[in-house]
Amino acid sequence: MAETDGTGQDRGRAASADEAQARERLRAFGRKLDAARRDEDPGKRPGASSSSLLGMAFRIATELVAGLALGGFIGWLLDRWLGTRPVFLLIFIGLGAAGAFVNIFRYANRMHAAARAEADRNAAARVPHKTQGGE
Amino acid sequence: MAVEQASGGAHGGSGLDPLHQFAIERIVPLRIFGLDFSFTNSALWMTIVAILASLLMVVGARNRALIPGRVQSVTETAYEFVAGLVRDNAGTEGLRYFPFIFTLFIFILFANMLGMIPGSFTVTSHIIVTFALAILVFVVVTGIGFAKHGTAYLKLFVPDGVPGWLLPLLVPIEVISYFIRPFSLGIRLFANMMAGHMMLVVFASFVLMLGVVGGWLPLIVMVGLNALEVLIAFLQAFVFALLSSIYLNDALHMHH
Repeated sequence: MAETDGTGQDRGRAASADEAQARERLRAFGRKLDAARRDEDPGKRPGASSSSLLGMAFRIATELVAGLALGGFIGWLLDRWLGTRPVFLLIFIGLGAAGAFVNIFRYANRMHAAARAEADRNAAARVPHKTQGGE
Repeated sequence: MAVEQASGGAHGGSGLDPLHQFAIERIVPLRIFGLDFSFTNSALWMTIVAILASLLMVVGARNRALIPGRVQSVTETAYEFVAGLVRDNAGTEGLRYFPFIFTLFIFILFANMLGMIPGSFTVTSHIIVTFALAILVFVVVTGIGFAKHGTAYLKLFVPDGVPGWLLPLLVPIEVISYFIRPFSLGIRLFANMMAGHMMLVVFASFVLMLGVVGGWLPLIVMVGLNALEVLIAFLQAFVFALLSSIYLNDALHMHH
């Protein structure tokens, strides 16, 4: 580890051809690292634990609360300013709820895409394992 | 002994006041131009958080050993954790703003964790603190969006492929959903920290009320709650950093 680090630094200081070579080696190492990570047991991957599910539940709940609170506040301010209680209060509570739902919907979409990508990766990683085990 | 003292201080068997722990106390009263600039217990704990966090980073980065020692490996783990978070959610471009996200994460994590020490003050249990942090994220991210895209950043509020007559309805919803961000960011952190700490005091007062005979059950629950609170303290710092980098991604790449 120490040796490769030292030689990498020296080459960086030397000619640019060596530098390109070092960079290529670094990139090859990155690819190897990625492949190794993919082969790793997917159950041990961080972030896929129940703690992130807990965070997700909190997130959806607060999104709704924040949407209603913000909408209600804006509506209340407008009403107080224009003296039209309760017209804007009702409109903005509706808009706030809709905005919160938009955020939650996008968040759910993002999570769905992430979960699908994860499932694909796991399926791709499992196939070569099986053929190895069969032989 | 301690139980007797504490229950003696409570009023008429109603237990401890669960809100007392959030009280702001002036340590160094200070008034400038009629505004209250007192150094409070909240400010004291913010200072402690900042000093301890900086200390960990400075000590951890001092040796730069190839095989890290204990402190250095903690620092490196934190660095890699947040770097991975930013890279996964805001792309390689987002790594330019890594110092910002990392500072937020470490500050909130230390504030939450130090709040778990009995007798300490939880800075993040006050909505004004968490909301200030959330507004900071909101302003920075919006600034980055406008700096990168100019006025084209406003297209974020106009969804593509929507018939024109729906726009008067959809644009206000988009605008509101954008402005909800700092509120939900601030409320989430504040609500989690405050609710957790209140729950701990409520269960502690159950222990005092039920005494030596029946107090063991809430005591056991409290041990579990404490573990849960440590988890939440970490989780909320993580969620705050995660959402900040997701918002950063929207500002950088402008697609949903």
